[in-house]
Amino acid sequence: MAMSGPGVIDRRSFARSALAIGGTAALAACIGRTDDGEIDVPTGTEDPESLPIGQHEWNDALERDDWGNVEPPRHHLFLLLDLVDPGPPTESDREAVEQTMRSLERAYEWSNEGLVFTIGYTPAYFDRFDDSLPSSVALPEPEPLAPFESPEPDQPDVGLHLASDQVAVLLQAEESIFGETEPDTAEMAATFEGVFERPEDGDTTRRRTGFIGEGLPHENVDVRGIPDDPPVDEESPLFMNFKSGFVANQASEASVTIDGGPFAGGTTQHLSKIRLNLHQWYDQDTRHDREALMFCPVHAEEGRIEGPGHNLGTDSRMDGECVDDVEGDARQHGRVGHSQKMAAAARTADDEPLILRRDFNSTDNGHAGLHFLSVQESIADFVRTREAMNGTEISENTGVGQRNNNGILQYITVVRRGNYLLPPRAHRALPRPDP
Amino acid sequence: MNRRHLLRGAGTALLAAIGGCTGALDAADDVPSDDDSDDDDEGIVGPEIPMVDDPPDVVYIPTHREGMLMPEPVQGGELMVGPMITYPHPFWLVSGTSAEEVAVTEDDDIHLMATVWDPETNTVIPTDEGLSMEITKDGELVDSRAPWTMLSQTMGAHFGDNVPLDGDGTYEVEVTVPSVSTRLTGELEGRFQASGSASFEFTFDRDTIQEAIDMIEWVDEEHWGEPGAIDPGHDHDHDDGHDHHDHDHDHELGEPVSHATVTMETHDDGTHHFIPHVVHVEAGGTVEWTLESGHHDTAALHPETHGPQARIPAAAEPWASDMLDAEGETFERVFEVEGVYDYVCTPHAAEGMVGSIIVGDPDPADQPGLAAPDEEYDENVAEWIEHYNQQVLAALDDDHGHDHDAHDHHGHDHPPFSALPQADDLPGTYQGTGMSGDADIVVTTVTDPGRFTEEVPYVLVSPRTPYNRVPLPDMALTLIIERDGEQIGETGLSETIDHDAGHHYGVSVPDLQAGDALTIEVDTPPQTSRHQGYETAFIDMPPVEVTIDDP
Repeated sequence: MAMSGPGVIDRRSFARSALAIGGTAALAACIGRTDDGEIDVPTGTEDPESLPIGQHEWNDALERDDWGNVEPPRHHLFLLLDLVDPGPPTESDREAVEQTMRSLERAYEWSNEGLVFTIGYTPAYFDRFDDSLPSSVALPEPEPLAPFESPEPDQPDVGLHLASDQVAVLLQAEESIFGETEPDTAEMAATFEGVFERPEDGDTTRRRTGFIGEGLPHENVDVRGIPDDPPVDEESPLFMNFKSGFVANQASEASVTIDGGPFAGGTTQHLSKIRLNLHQWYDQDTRHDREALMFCPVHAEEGRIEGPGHNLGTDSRMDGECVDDVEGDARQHGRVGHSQKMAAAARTADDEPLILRRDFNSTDNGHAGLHFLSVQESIADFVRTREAMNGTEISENTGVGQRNNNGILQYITVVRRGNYLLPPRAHRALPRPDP
Repeated sequence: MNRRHLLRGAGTALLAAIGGCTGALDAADDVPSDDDSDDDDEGIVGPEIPMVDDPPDVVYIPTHREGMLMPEPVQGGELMVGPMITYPHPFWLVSGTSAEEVAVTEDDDIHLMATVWDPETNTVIPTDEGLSMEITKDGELVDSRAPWTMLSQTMGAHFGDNVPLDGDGTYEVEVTVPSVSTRLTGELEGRFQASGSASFEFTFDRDTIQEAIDMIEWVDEEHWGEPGAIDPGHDHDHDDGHDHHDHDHDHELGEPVSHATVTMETHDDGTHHFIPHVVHVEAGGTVEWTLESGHHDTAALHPETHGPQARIPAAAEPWASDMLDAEGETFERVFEVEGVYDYVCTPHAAEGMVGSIIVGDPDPADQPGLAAPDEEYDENVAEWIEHYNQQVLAALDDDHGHDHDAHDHHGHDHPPFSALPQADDLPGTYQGTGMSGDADIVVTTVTDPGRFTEEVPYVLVSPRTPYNRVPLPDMALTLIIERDGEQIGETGLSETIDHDAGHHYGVSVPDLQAGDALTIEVDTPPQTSRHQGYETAFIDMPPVEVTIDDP
């Protein structure tokens, strides 16, 4: 921001969204907008058996876009919570957590119009017990995954992810979980009070918010890390002005589900907090550069992408030219694309994607950001995917640098990482390592 | 630009102001907008930088030498980080074989740069290692980014970008240097494998930018765009209005003369100087001081003339002239006693008007004129005394062949300039130099097994800029070997940094023979950003050919 006024340089001021502010005041303001003082939300179910076995099985409950790609819920809240008491949790804690979750399921339909959520457990949580996790669960502690990052590790006991198309639903669910209010449609049979510590006001490490979907990034550009007037299209679902989550580039829910052992039906979850540095992306790189770095230089040359990329349909079209000889391509163009690296290296033996991404943009801390969230059968799958993203061999053997010209690495800073086990529904409430 | 109001308290007051509650595509115009004063940018802060119209396709002389402020370098892990701050200015991003100009935007407040080097071997790290810079103010993050690698005639290979700030004030910058992933050889092998962080502070206000602008040195317009380059001098802090010359090396120290002249000057920027600052006369020789501008005298640093310390040989007499104030007035003195003499202009001593005289060929040991400065001296005086001590010692020692003094005039460490060794100073046997895209590509072969690679000979390819020998990082090169007209090998060259050869690309070619023809193909030219004067060269780079004489 340059100078204005006689000799005085003004500071920026930032407005925060209702979800970022949180609390009963924000909830009241959101609800106050409706006619009858209630949120318009479809109610949930009395029958927990009607819900999927895996907490991560959301796709059937979500909508599809015109091209058949899954549309994630538009608003997200992720809470990192610690148990109040030391040592392994008690049976009554367990019962309270389970009844809290069931209350949410009764109050809100399990869908993007209502509420979808997962509760996950970290290695730190399982350290409370003497026994260790079974070998069917690969859940390491989080660590840096590139030489140029030094993220802080997230090791709360629990990670609670809530998502809905309506901010009011998220705020009401959050306040209800902590006993401050009740949903309009059902009573809370129990709450987290006395079980988990509630994050303090303004703690953006333990309370992360975000959004994804057409129109939302466009409305939210008034933060640091992104120029005041960037060309973020109204139709772009994400800050970097390209869509992602093409169905062909996402692992299926079945393929990320843990196969065997006591946690069969569940999955693992990785959550990282990423700061986006988009001044260079928008002010300095050209549209051509952005297409090349997000997808593949050939895409840029051939003008394959229109706007945010809806025209690509159900996959990002990383075809032969992009993936057959990534290194040769990088030698020729001096740069390598993000999707290009992933399509070439972050795949199973059958050329299927390894992870299922459910990430969302954020304006927490007044800075453009991304909460990267993915589910995968094993955290090792995520690590492999991230290694493909680093493109280390490519940068060693070509003019591509560690971050410059190397996909989107230059524009992101990973500040936190955490790994969670998402047990199947049957064991989602404070499980033992041997449930 | 629409804004949403901050939410305060609960209740109806908020209703009109909330956006984003329903999650639908809220029309942003529902929301009343703030007073737009924050958006009211009065335009770009930096100076209008004249560019060269239609520059040639080679390295060319730009319109100016950039002015900049250089905070003290700081250590991050094993490496030193030398920050540089200046006004925001355009530069060129290179991707593949195109260079696109990056204009200064309204957001940009400064151009922030850093040189990264190894203090043990003075080797600059020019490659993209994934550096990041985080700028905070009062503990809040203002900007975070991975700077571009950049090439500049005067700053060599460094990192930088135009950066937005958040108003007047003091900023802290944390530069993180990850482990170096580029291949390292010689004394650098195995080093820099941990990441390090270095922090420095700077104050930003209108004066900061003005100071940097004031240090710009303009090139005579008739030279704009001529093939050539600006000399990478260190004298950024003196704008003497003359054709730039390096004050300290006007006069060959180490070759004493019988009569040396020293002018006494006051410059436009208010600084005062003896030019040259150090002279060397024979025993019995004469030094004649001439007043050029201002009012000055000359007085030995000695308790009798300007204390507190005696900084002339014990057997010598101190001197003190009258005040000279008429242009052309002179003062002369004969120096009989061999040794080193430090002196000042008494009214301007505290402002750093200090000089030194070497008489004959003295033994540096126990010279009062080379002692550490007394504690009671003004800081300025002490700094200059130390600086000239170094110079005199260097003159009296054998020359080390280092082109560039690592210490600036204030005795602070400067980042070294990243010049690569001359062709005949590179390790190995010189094989030839090709020109491509106005770069010089020097080729040598090294036959010590294990020096660079286990197998030998090692073909060492050293591309550099033609005048200032700046390294050209982030290239992709392929080597083709032909014998008797037939291609016998093709291999990539590995980007490498060596303590002696510096940045280069190399590969071992074990069966290389005399008479073999090497072709070096440039698959990608240096993918680094460029400052003015370097954006047209090193883009289109045809192959170069070198025939091996004797590997």
